[in-house]
Formats: sequence, C-alpha cells, structure tokens
Amino acid sequence: MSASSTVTRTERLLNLVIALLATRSPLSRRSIQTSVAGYDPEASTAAFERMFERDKDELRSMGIPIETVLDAHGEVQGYVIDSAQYASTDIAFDSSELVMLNLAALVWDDAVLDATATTAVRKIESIVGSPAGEPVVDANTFAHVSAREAALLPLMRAVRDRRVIRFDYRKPGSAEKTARTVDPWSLNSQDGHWYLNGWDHEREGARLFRVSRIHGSVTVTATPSSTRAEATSDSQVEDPDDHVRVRVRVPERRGAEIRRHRTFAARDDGTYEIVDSPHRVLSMLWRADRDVQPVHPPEIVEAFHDGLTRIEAEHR
Amino acid sequence: MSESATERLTRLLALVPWLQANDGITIGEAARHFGVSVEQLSTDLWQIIVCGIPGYGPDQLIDIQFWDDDRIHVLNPVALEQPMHLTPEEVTALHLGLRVLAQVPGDHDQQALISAMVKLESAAEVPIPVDIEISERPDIVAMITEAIDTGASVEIDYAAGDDDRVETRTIQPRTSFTVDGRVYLQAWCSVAAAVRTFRTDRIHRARVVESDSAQPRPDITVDTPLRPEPENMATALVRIHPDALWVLDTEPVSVVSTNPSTSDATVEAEIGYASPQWLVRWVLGLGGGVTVLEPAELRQSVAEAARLRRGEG
Repeated sequence: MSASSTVTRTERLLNLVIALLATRSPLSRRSIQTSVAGYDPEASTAAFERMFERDKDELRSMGIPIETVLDAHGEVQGYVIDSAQYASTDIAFDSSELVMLNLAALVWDDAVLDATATTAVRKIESIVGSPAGEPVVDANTFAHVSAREAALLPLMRAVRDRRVIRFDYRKPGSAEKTARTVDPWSLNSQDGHWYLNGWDHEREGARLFRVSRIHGSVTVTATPSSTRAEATSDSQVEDPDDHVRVRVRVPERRGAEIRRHRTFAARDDGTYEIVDSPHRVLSMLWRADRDVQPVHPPEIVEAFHDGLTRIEAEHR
Repeated sequence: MSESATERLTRLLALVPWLQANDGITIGEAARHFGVSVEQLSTDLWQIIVCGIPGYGPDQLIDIQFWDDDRIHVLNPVALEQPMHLTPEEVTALHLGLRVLAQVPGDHDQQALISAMVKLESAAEVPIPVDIEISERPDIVAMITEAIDTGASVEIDYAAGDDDRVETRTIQPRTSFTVDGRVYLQAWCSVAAAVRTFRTDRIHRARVVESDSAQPRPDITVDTPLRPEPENMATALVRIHPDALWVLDTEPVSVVSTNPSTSDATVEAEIGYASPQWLVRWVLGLGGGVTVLEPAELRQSVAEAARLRRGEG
C-alpha cells in the first residue's frame, strides 16, 4: 500500500506502533520509510527523518517504549517495541476494586483527567475482565472534581519529572503579574482550589501558588529541579512573610466566616485573633456581619475604614 | 471536540484489547464506556481496521466486525491483543479519584477502595506527588453519614452564604455529595419545610436530637445534582479596577470591554449571581476594587451596606 495523503497522522502513528510491536528484528529507518503506511517512500531522507523523529518523540512521550537498537559499530540498526515492556503485566484487581476504580474515574467527569482516567479503567478491564452491562454508577456516592485548569496537566508532569517551570502569576490584591521560576514539589487540592507547592527561585523560599492564578501557559524547562527534601524550609500558605496578627471583635453568632478561619482563637480580653495576609483579613472583615470590627493593629483598622469609604464613594 | 493525535491514539490502542475482552458488545455500550459519542466510536473503528502490519494484506490488517447487528467482534487484533501499561498520568488520575472517594460519605466499599489504592501505588513508578484534601470536620461528616442511615434529625448551627450569621435549625439529612473537596448535604429543613442543600463546612456545630419515630419522615424525592447550580441566575455589570484584576483569574466573570488607558486600566465585566446578598458581600470583600455599574438597585444596596458597615466604627 502506498502512502496516501488521506492517511491521517493518527493512522500513521498506529501503523508505526503495530509495525514495531510485530517485528522480530529491529526495523531500520529505511524499511520504516518504505513499508509503514503513512510515510512517503518517495520523500527525501531529510523530510522523512523530520517526520519520523517527531512521531518517535511523541510516542515515547505517551509512554510507548520504543527501543533504539545499535549494531556492533555503535550505529543505529533500527527500532523495536518489546511487547513485554509495552503491555501491563502485573495488574490484578478484583471485581469490587474494579467498581471503585470505575467510581474513581467518574470523579473526573468532564474535568481535566476525565479521558485519562477512563482509558485507564478500560485498560485494566481488558486484562481482568469487565463488569458486564452498564457503567457502574453508585447513586449513594457522588463525588466530583470540576478542575478544568489547563495548567494542571503540565504541572503534574513537571512535578513527576522534576523539571524547573516558569509562569506568570498574579497575587491577590496586586495589579501586576510577575514572572516566577519554580521547582515544583507537589500539587494538592484544598477547599476546592488547586495549589502548587514549590521553591521560588527569585524569592529564594518555599511558596504556595494557587493554580487558577497562573496566567497563560506554564513553560516546562529541561533543567532538573530540587526536591522538597533538599530545601530548608516549607510553606503551607501563600507568601508567609507578610502575615499579620489581627485582633477583632466578633459578637456571639456573628462573623461566621472569621470564626471558621483556621487561626481563629479567643483572647483573654474577650476579643479574638486571626493570622493571615492583610489582603485576606481585610477581605473577610469588609464582607463580615456589621458588628464584626477590627481592633488592632491600627494599619488594619485604618485600611478597613478606607476600603469601606472607597466602596461607598464608588457606588454613590 | 478537538482531540490531539496522541489522545486519539491512546484510545485506539486501549479500544482493541477491550473490545476483544468484551466480545459482542454494542457500539452504543462501548461508546459509553469510553466516554465518546457513537459517531466517534464508529469513526475510531473504521480507522482501526485500515491499520496493520506492513504488507497490509487481508491477514495483516486489524479485523473487527461491527456492521452486522451493531455488535462488535474482534476477529484479528494483530499486535494489539494487550493494552499498553498504565501511564503515570493514568495512575495519578485513578489514585486521586480514589483519594476523593475515601474522604467522602457514602455507602461505597471502603475496604475495596483501600486495596485498589494500594495496588495503584505499587504500579506507580514514582510516588504520586498530587493529592486532594477534603477539608471538612470529620466528626460532623461522620455524624451526618450516620444520620442519613438512621433517619435521625440533627440540630445544626449553620451559616448560610448570603449573610455572616450563625443560625440554629433542625434538619433531617437525606443524601450527601462532594464537589471539589466540599461535602454538600441535602436535607429536609424544618424551618423552610422543604429540601435544602447545605455545605457541611459551614456547619459550626451539630448534635443528633432524639430520633422521633412519631414524626413521620416526609416522603420526598431527592435528586443528586451533577453540580449545585442555582436556577435563577441574574447578571450584574461591574467595573474591575487595576488592583482587583486578579479576580479575572479566579472568578466566573466574563470581560465585556477593556479600558486601555495606562493611568486607569479598568475592565468592565459581567458576573452571574443567584442571590443579591451574595453579590453585595462579594463586592464588599474586594474593598472597592470592584464597582457595580448595573443594576442600579444592586449599586444602591452595596452603598447602603458599606455605610452600615462603617457606621459602627
């Protein structure tokens, strides 16, 4: 079969995978060009090489183990996929575990990892057998993650492959975006928000970044990153340096949001105290119930009143 | 839906062994299992059967029969009888899904869940550095899970999102569900005399009150919503000042126009809201960074709320 322009890229990649899986001896570049459907046997060597290199890189990035086989002189003899390395070997889930895996995939319904989780369950089912009939849905367990942040996928890869990343970040309460260079350590979701924990190169400290505040795309560099174990400090909050300790008056059954703050603590004088960034403390105070008032420090009390004056003036 | 060649290839490679293991499955069922449309699955099948081993003779092509009675039979999988090993992303996706399930109420099999999680961890080549935390108070979630089973009534101190006050009410929990790490609860509320949705992280205190068997359980049906989405959404037009432009990254606002002036680079945007009280609190919390332009009543409500809030000082 000669290559035709209608053979799509997907078909060419699929044919390449099958050819490399089925072959007993490594396939040389020349035989790939002339025999695998999708490559043009008439194309120049340079044009073929460009296409083949790109295909090979793409398949390897999917996790397909394409081996480069060298001859006695250290020259590339050809390529092959070892089917034992390609296939899943030691997957053994029982039927009740499989029900849980199906539920786990449903957690991602329509979110970033939806297709990834679905394919994974289907792969497992191919080996251990699938529960017949309808996809399993347990009406009494409903959990959903709606994460659609495009940055999550490159971030997960960067964390796994330990690569330094670069992105633009906008801190809450600040007008400017700043370029950050970060060693990504871990990603986690708290209170429905995704956070990246890592080492900020310019700030020389551990930082927590809210993924939704990453502006534009994430650049994954080729530079290996440090791991958390190598760092000297850890961080559980965004920008810990500028935290303030604020004393507030909170009447009984009022100020529900402030009462739920993780640092909320009663003081001996009947007032309460919270510790957080000025931006977050003020934000909670401004939208709190009317009898909730800041008492100390004076800068916060002043900023609190300035904000309300500004709101009033803006809405006149 | 635009799909990359690798996303598509990943599915095609998984499809052949799965169809072989599920001989005779219909196109519709297969499409549902793979989360794609029937048309997409048919396209996939037509694409697969023109691929095979170089030479591409009749015996060298993947042979799948699927046109006779809508049932799919893999006659020759060529080199694709086994699925590819799980990729790190796939292990992560399933592991995270299980982590979420492990932390939410429901009658799923916790034992099977934990053993599946352990097996996935051993399948992962590197530790899984991604995690989801459900930040609820476990004692309250446990109490509610039990109340759903027993039908008991629970007295709760609850703060609704619209205001900032804690109020006590008695509820009868019926179902719970989790969205993005928050556990929601659907319960019969005796104050509203209707089914209401509660966020368990806003329950400040809970206490099981004597389960009163004389009081009949109101016969109601509860639907588990896919997402807790209010029905009657209104839209406000707001101006976002430079110091609050970060809300564009985190809030569901859509930009209407941008003022390019460098001295006052404001943005006008629309934001949907279900309750005016919620929007007023949202605007207050931004300390003047966002101004409501329309509707006029809402603008007035914000000014009024700010005046009241200040008057106490």
